[in-house]
Amino acid sequence: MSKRAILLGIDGLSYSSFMKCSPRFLMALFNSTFRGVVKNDRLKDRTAASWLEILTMDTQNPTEFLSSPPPLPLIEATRADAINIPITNPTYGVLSLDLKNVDYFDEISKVKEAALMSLSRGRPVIASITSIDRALSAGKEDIKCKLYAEVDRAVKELLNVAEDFIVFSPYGEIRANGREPYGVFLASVPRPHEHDTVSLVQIGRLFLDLVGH
Amino acid sequence: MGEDKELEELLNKKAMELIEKTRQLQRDPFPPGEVVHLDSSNFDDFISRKRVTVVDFWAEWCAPCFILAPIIEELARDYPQVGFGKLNTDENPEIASRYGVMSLPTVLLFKDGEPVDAIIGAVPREMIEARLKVILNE
Repeated sequence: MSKRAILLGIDGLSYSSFMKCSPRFLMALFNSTFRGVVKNDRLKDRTAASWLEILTMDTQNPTEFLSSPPPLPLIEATRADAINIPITNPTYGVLSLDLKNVDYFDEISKVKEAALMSLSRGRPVIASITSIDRALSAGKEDIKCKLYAEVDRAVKELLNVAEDFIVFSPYGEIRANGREPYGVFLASVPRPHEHDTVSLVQIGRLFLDLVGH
Repeated sequence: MGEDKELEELLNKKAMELIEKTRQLQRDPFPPGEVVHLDSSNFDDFISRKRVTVVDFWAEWCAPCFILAPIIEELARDYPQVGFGKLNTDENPEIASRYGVMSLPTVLLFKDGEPVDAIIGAVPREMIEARLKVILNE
């Protein structure tokens, strides 16, 4: 079964910057859709392992970027187009970017275009935007709210096309002692146990249910 | 000779331990400018230590709580004369129920250890600041 559904991960997106940066569309989603808090204290400083946990729907050991991806049950089961997934570098998927060189704003634009293309063909999409996390990891706090605005516009365009969505961050912002272990979770469908945090494994399973086996 | 040296080292070690213990006792358990993590062991002491205190009641699953948190941190830095703390209601339900906290986030403002105002939800900084100023000026 094919469905215009999107699982969009925005690494480093944090509720703690919502008040400061006021991303209008994300704030509107926050107030009108199903929401939660992603908890990832074990792998918060490991991008590839965090994403692998989602894509395998199983717990993972901490790993750095892989040289080639292992079997990814979520992608196989949903037949989703993978776009810019940071389990390898260059990233994995129909859009593959070199994270050491790609411009922060270019990445957002390219991911958006690739995802729109896949959605227009009726394909489910699993996509990642790493710009916010990469910029803040490089100490570019001054462009944080500009990136939030750009991400906000991209999310708006994508969700106008998608039938169902999960927008999340696998961890929060980088701080002096590492990344915040809490991320964003916004979805078009409810989840069981709304008074619990959301794990990465659950995110994968929820998307699988959303798309249908 | 060897025994003297051993004894001297032992005395030095004991002296250093005593100095460190004294330092720990002197350290403020509620340092100004910081948001203190509260639980049942320090809550009552915290709200009675300063004339005005502000407590942010939160939980891990509560998304608006994470939106509010940086505002509380900012206010803590700007009002060092006020005590700022945060209490996880899942881990300390008895304190939340003592003050009738039913929804999250809830910010309680205390004066002389007594709750005098409550603000519910992730509100802008200005709203908390205005209410805080009223209490500070009373």
